Amino acid sequence: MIEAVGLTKRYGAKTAVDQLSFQVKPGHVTGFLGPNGSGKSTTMRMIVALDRPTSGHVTINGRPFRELPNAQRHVGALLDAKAVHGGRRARAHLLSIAQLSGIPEKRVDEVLAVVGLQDAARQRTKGFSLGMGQRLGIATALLGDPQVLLFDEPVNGLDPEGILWVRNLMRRLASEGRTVLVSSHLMSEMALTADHLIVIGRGRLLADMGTQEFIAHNSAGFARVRAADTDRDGRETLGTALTKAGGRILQEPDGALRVTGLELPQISDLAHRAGVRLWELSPHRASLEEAYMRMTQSSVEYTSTEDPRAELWEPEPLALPAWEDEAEAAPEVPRTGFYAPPPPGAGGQPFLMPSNPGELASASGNPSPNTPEDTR
Amino acid sequence: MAFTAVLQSEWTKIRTVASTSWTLALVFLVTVGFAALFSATFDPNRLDAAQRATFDPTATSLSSMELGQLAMIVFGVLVVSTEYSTGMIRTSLAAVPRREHFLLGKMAVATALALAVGLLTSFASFFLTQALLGDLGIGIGEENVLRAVTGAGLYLALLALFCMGVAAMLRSSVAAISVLVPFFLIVSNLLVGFEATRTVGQYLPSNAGGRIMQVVPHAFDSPETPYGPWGGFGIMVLWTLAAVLGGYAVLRKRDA
Amino acid sequence: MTPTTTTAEQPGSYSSPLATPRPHLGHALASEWTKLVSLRSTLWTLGSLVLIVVGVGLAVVAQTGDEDFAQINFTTPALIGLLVGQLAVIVLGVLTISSEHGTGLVRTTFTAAPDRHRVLTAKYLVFSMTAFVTTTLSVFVVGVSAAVVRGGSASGPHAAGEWFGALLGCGYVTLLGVLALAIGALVRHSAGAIALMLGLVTLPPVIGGMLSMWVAVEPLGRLILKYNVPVAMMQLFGLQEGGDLGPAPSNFSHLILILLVTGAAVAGSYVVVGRRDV
Repeated sequence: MIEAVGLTKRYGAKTAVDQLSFQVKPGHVTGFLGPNGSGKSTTMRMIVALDRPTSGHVTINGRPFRELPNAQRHVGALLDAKAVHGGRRARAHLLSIAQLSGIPEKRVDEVLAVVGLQDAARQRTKGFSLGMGQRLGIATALLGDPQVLLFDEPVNGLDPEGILWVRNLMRRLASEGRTVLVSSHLMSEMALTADHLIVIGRGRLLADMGTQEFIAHNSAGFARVRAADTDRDGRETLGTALTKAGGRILQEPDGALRVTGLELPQISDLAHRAGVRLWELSPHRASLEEAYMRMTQSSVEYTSTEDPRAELWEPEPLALPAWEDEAEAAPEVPRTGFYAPPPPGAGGQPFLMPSNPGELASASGNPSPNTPEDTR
Repeated sequence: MAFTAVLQSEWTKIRTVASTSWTLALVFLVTVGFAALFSATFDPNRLDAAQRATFDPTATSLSSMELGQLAMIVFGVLVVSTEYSTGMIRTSLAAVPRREHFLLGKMAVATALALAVGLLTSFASFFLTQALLGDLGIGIGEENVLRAVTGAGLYLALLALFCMGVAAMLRSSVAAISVLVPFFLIVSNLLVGFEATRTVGQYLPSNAGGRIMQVVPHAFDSPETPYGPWGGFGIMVLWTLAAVLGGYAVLRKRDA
Repeated sequence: MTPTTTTAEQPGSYSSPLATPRPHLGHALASEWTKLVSLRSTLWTLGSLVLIVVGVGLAVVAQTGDEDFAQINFTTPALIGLLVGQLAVIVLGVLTISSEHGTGLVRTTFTAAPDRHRVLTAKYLVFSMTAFVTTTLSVFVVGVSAAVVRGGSASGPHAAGEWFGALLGCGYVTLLGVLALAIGALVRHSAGAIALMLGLVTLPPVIGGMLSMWVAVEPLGRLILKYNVPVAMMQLFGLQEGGDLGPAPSNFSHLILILLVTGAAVAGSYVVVGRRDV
């Protein structure tokens, strides 16, 4: 259990963390989200007393970190995968950290095996890839077999298999009754890993709730309906029927309709009554990424301006169907989980590619935190 | 890529790093500061006859170069070695695949900067101390004085370049500083201090290169040398050339 | 604060099979020893110390005869090498802590051991013991070789005091290394701290030399000439005020001076390291 009360950190005039209060409970993976520079890392550093809060305090299992009788046995942290001396061999590095708290030497070999670095144990860490560095950092955090674990961006630099491994590890650690706090900027990854979310922006708490609840609160889902192409008037007929029934409709470039305000069975019934054959009727649940972007857009520290070259590329606009005379600006909604919506008002284009191949792998399918055992 | 672009990029790098201004400011402040201290506390009545005969006011101005050069060594080392310690070298070499351009560009820019600071330091030091020495002071127009004062600036620039070469060879600021500081401040002085080792010691870069700063030979009991001011400077140029070539060889051979 | 329950008693929380000893200084000493021996820079610095002291020392012993040791101590050949070799001790002292800051390892260390003073104390102890033992062994290898090879009747009488002086000299070098470690903890930047320490050791004789050349020295200049590192080492190794070599350290005030300076720096490092964000 981690408990922060009124945690504040100022660097001169800049307030990195502002009156932050939250609890991280055991038995869950708690995701820690926020744009770059929002104060995630500073908060994590204050939890383990690397930085002193300007005001407020944070306790772990009821005690300030520095007063824990054996810190390493209570808290393990991966804050920076590069926080090792490159000239030291991996095993010697782990051994020196283990010895600080009287952790037996055989535990070092255990954690090396857990993270799959047995073969690199005698290598100097200077030659490690980013992914190997992350694994070594995770091994360091696990040394004391602690009850509370903090991971700052643990999947950075990992390959898809590594990401899957970290996801399963986090969930297993939490299921053993540990408190697990993970920060990440890979939303699709968070959606799969975290049960609970703490979202901050510009150092302030924006949300502290369950992942599903968060998505539901911050985005709207829709149904995608596609009338059979062979039926020329089908789309018109269907659109009119759905609008009459109270649904709101947007037409996608390829002819499919986005329907909000109607449940799937209702849509099916209406289509049946109107005599329209459907080729597609699919639920679209909003992604965590979309919900997150909506929530944090106002608190993004580093906003990018468009690379002018992007203007060379014209996105096909979402057309307003004929029966929809309401000339309201169509909010762009991602077509699949990994399409991030643009910040409203920015008028930008949707990102066509996910930033990380890992996202592709994990986001193909509807993001659901309850996805059973991913196959390896 | 055009070489001028490399120069421009290196100039941006060097000017935006805090250690540059720190070390170069220290070169100036330590050298001028101690020269002023020496001249202000100078009491000519206590010189003996031989010292009075060989008194060299220019050397009084420039003797504190010995102290200021420590900061110049650190400057030369850090210019090169921070590329390695920060991993910047990989970005740099990706942008400038021709490694000789990268190294030459960096050394040219840093040496030019060191020369500017060196000349500023030596002239400021000279004029300030000559004013403080009062009647004993001399003007810049006296025989060999201009050569000595300019030479002091050249010496500092060459010293920085030598250190850049060694840093490129060792690729670590700690290793380079740990080798260079004892080499210039202890080994050089130690070897010319004993009769037996002087024949070797006088050919070391700082001892040979330092000759250019002397206006009056044998001032303050300094030993005789088999080379003149420019000859000594030439010896230091050879040392520097060797260090730069060594640095280039290492950069070309090894993975960044 | 209310009495805390241990994690194992909290419902639904994880309990580990690992033992939970209360960490003590011994644990930190073991950790620092592992850190010291697992880096090549340790081998480089201590190796060059041994090489310089023993190499130069034995070369001097080889170049001298029994009668030369009538004027000098058996430990004097080691002193020449030690004047340069001490720099290796200084570099190792700085690196012991500054390399942790430079690489960010210090964050891992202080997360694992939040009682930073325990870690710092272990660093001081492990480093100073290692430096003292290595320095003393090198010096005594040279001294004993000289005593064995050049200890004939022509070398005259030698007192135990010169060995004592050499031991104090090694202690002095160790204290310089400890000072370097403290400076490294305060400055955190390897190159900066090393340059600062090397300047502190090498520049005062140069400044003093300049002042002495002009005869017209200020009292300050005289003081610098009298109290600087090389002079301190020579006097601890038996050099007398007049320039002759005596059988015992001629001036113990150097030890007091270095103890004061190092003590102040060490105290400062405890205060700063305990409070600072890393």
